[in-house]
Amino acid sequence: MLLNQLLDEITNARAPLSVNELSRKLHVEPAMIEEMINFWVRKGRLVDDSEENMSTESDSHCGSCSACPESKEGAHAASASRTYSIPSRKR
Amino acid sequence: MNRSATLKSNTFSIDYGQEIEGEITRLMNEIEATPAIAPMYPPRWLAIKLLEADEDIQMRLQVLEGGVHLLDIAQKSADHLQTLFGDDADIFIAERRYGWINGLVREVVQRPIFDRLTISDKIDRVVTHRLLGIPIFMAMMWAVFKMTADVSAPYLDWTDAMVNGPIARWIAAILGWIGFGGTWLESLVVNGIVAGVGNVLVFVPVLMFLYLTLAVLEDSGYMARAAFVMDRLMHKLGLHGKSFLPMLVGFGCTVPAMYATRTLENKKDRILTGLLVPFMSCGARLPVYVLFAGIFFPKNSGAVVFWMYLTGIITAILLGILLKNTLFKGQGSSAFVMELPPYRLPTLRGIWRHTWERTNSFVKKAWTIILATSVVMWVLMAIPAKSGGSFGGMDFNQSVFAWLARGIAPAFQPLGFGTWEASSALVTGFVAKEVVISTMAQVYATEGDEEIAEPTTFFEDVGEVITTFIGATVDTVKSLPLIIGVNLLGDKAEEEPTTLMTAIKTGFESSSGGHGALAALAFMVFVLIYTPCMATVVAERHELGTNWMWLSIIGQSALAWLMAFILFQGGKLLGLG
Repeated sequence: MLLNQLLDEITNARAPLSVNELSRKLHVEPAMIEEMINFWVRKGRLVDDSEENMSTESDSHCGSCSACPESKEGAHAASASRTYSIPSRKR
Repeated sequence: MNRSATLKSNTFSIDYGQEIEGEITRLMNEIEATPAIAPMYPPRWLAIKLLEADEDIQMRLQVLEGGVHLLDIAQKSADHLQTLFGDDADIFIAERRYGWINGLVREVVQRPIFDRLTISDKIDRVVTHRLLGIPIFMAMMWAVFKMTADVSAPYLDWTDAMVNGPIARWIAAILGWIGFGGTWLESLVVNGIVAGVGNVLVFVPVLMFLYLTLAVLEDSGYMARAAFVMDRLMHKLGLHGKSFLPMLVGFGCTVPAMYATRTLENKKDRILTGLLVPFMSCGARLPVYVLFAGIFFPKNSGAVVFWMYLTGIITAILLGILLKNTLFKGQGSSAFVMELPPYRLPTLRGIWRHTWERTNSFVKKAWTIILATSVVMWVLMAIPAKSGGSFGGMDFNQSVFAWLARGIAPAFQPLGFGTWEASSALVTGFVAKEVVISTMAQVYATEGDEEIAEPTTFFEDVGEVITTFIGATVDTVKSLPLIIGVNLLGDKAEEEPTTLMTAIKTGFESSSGGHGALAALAFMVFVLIYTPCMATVVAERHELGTNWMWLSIIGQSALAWLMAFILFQGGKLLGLG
């Protein structure tokens, strides 16, 4: 029951997890973990936070702060890695 | 033999279990009994797709004869399985499929999959280690700020000498040549624009070094690990694990960091993180630290800058814990999965692109907001506060600007910097933190005794620009070992104080009763904690709402005052500074 095991691991985790950690815990290749995460994202049981962020970002733009490049890529370079989380019921 | 029969004989089957297989068989029989559909798709494949509620297949079948009937039967089968299993049928189909793939991988791949560690895995075992991860992150930050403060110093001195030397001389000469020598226009350009904008541009090398080191960390893949390690700490402290990602963005600029709080799905978590993000020291505050650390702590400027950044992080974490247990009580923090990209060797092109984009943005701002603020300030400093004076014809000390600033200066007296010069810099710094430097350059430029330089020719100046640049480059290379505490520069490592630095030092020593270093630290802490800039305020209003925006502005100002007060008065009581 790999898919449900994966979801249980994420739901019950007490701290952020990396794909590699999940791979070691479930004894599954990291690429397959990513595929299974994508499956749960398609099912709506996990949220791709980067997608969520980008989808609501069209109306926002950086201000005039000097350190901020105008391109989104540059601005969010530090947070370039994707994160997935359990969607909250109440937003 | 028809097409479906051919496909049937060539395919292998995953056993989906008795219940699902029963429904698949039932659907296959229905498909084979539908002449318009049976020859088009392999029956088993189509039956599985129908149970998975594949939208594309559903659309295709709807227009075929018998398709709607087939979809009805498929829906009944899916409903039956859902009742049986308590969840969607496609989850159990996928479950079986992934199980089969995993079994196959285990069976046919000869290498010991789970014992084999890539280089990225090996590095991650150390870098993201539960105990080692945080000290490693601190060490990385230490290296970044040593690099930023110490290694960039020769170029900082070079640009300072250029802006306040040849460039200022050329501009004054051109104005004199076209007949504006000694007029208010010359004062506006030299004391307003060159002193204001020029002294902010002096810090371009410092920011370039900061952005360069951050770009190396980002492009190598380390920053994602840093966020992961710190998120784990945040989670343990009861804060949302994803809070540190926006905070990390805040090292560059608070505005995108504020928008990055959207990765938090819960509104209360978003607001809490949005309130903490401004405490992360953005690039615009760096010139203030570098200037003050260079004046008051020349031998430990890198360490001082590092501690300022660390103070920001610690303040954010402590305040976060306080808010989480008071205003935001009762919010549990959920875990999440982070995809850590593999480590890469950063490319020169990539690093340069990131560094240039950010530096270019800083330079652009110097010619817009800082220029406008400098001109407005110069005008206010040119208007006499009392009758009798003429526009631009009196000491700036007697100006409307000084008069207004003196009105708020007493509020900063207990913090050790209750002068109109320092107070005015903090007020204009509300627009943007770079303006703190430009204001100080303007207000102190009028007070310091200008160095009388030997007259030089244009070609002598050009020669000086080139030779000093080469000298700065050599010194920069020599200063690299300073990161690990090795000084190859000797006495050269100690910066020669400029007129501005001397004026600031004298002003702070005088206003603090001889505790200049303590007052300078208190000033830096105040700059770190109070509202970063107007753009951040706009972002806060947009993301958090008007009420939270006001709470943030008032709270940051009060906390800035309190922290600076405790630092200055506490330090004095302990006999420091």
